[in-house]
Amino acid sequence: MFDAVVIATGEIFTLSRMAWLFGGVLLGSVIGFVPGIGGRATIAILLPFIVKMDPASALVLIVGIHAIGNTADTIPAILFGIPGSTSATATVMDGYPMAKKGEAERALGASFVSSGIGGLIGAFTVLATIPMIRPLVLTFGNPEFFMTAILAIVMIALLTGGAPVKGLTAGCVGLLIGMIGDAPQTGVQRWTFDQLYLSDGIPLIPIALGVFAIPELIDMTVGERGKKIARDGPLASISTKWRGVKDVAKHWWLLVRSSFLGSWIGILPGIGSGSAIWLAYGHAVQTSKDKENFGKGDIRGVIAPEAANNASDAGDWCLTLAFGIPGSATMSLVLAAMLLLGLPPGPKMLTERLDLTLIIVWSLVLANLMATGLCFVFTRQLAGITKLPVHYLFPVLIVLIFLAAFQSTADWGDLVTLLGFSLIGICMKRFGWPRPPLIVGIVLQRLAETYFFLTTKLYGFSWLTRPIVIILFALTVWTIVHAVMRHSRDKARA
Amino acid sequence: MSQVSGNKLDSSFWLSLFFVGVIAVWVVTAVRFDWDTRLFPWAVGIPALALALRQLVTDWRGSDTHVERGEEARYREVLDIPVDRSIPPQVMMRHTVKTASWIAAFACGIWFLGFLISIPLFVFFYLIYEAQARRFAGLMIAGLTFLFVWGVFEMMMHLAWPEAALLTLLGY
Repeated sequence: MFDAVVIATGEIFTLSRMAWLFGGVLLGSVIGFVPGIGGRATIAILLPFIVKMDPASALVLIVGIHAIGNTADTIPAILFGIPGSTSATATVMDGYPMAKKGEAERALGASFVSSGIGGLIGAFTVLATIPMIRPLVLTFGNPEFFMTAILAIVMIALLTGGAPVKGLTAGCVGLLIGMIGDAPQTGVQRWTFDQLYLSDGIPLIPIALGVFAIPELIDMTVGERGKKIARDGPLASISTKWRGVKDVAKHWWLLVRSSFLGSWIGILPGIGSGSAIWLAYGHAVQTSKDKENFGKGDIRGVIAPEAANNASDAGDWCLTLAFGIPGSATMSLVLAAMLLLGLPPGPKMLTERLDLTLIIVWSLVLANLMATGLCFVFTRQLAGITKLPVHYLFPVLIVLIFLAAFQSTADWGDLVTLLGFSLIGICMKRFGWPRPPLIVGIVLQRLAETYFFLTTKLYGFSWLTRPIVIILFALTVWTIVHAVMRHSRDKARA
Repeated sequence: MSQVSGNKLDSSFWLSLFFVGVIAVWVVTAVRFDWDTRLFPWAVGIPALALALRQLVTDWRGSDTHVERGEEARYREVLDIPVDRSIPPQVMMRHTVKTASWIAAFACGIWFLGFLISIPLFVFFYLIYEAQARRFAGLMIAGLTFLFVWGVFEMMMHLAWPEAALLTLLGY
């Protein structure tokens, strides 16, 4: 292990590798901020060229592109309420209200720094746990994965406890929508209505854009012409990016906890950052004494998901390398790139090719620093967009949303999905139904159903006696009881 | 749809009814699947139906907390980006319909003319009529948007654009 660390360190700190890494970060930043596209498109474009490079440099370049994508997807989430990717959906909840209050620069500053530090903690956590990754992953069997998915949905559905029935119903509807397509265990087509588009399930990007982005854009344009997003206060004088940095320092313990949560989720196969961010967000709300500002522009609602998002990345990379299990669409492309480079993923990446794995971990550390630095430098300019008239921004943003939705599968169905879920999103927002549980339900459906099926088939009822399952089950019950009691108490007070 | 607090058929009722309908269809139609395929839909759908029905009854009776404590409470109690309550609901509804019409028109434009033609047209006409921008500014922004989309999605990504209905009609 020590030899591999020395070799990897020597390999990464060369002029050419650093140039590839920085080139990747720069290249990723060109289109990395476009909602729904991010680093995935850049990697796809570069695949034919990557084949001709030496494996280490190629992987370093990919890491650079990927790292900036994870940091930059926050930009449209905070500025316009448009999640740049599914990993940025939780950041919308408090980042966008902050932008509306004229605190975009503060939110962006906090987000970039949290992402950077989260990425570093994630990379070092994975580095420290490489010898233990296999046993660590194996402690989690099918029942534990199933209960983790259920806990995540329940936690998000009952976050404030004010409307437990609505939250749980929205989460269940999300799970049911996620069931459209082929059943993971039998391959039977469910609720596809003979449409080829639906056979693989509805893609998440058009749903997330419809449920979150379109309702926010419509609300954004209500009011007089010349109105700006940052309508409640002058931008620069009230808040700066440094205030965001101070916020991160003030909430350092939340940052550390969220980063470790993200790292842990990243190591677990198949869960991915889409769940890590919501678990971190839920954790931030549940552990805060003053919860009333969440959803209205609480900086903790930006710090927690952003740290968890980047922290989960390192684990995701290690799983892709060591087990060949991609945790996201981008990682599927990484897997393809590795095969093209003649590097079949597998346990050998943690033994014989450990140096290459460590080069990637090192690249993640450096790329996170570069991406954070690059975004941080331009924070003020980015925040300045919120001072432009919304009626000028609106048509351009709508175009980007339609393109982002369409490039999911390049099918008319993507646009129909976008419009249909926009309607649902508008109604949910107007009529006081929480939208996050719907998205979390869809994200976690396949994972929950697959592990539910395997659990019931392999373990019968004995899985309920497994220690980690008991802990997760107790946490789930406690979350429900706590929410119901709070709801009853509020009603009694009223 | 009434926005008046305390009204029995309050706005949330219709959304609850929609969810009850969707869940009921899912649960009932799952009968035709084999046991392994319908197990999870039922495990989720049956409790979900019970929850949605409970919410429907609550909305029908108008006894939820938001009715007792005022309309504001509904939005406070749910974790989501809040609706701007300073704008009257009628104004909000009228505006939503108008903006949604622009979005729908853009979608129809994509279907009829294709992405690359409808994008600059949509941006230009929205800026002229809705933002009341000057024609030169409208042309510049529409042109730049087109160049960005063409450069990134056409030249770099070679995105497979869907066939426009007009071009199909003309035999292209």
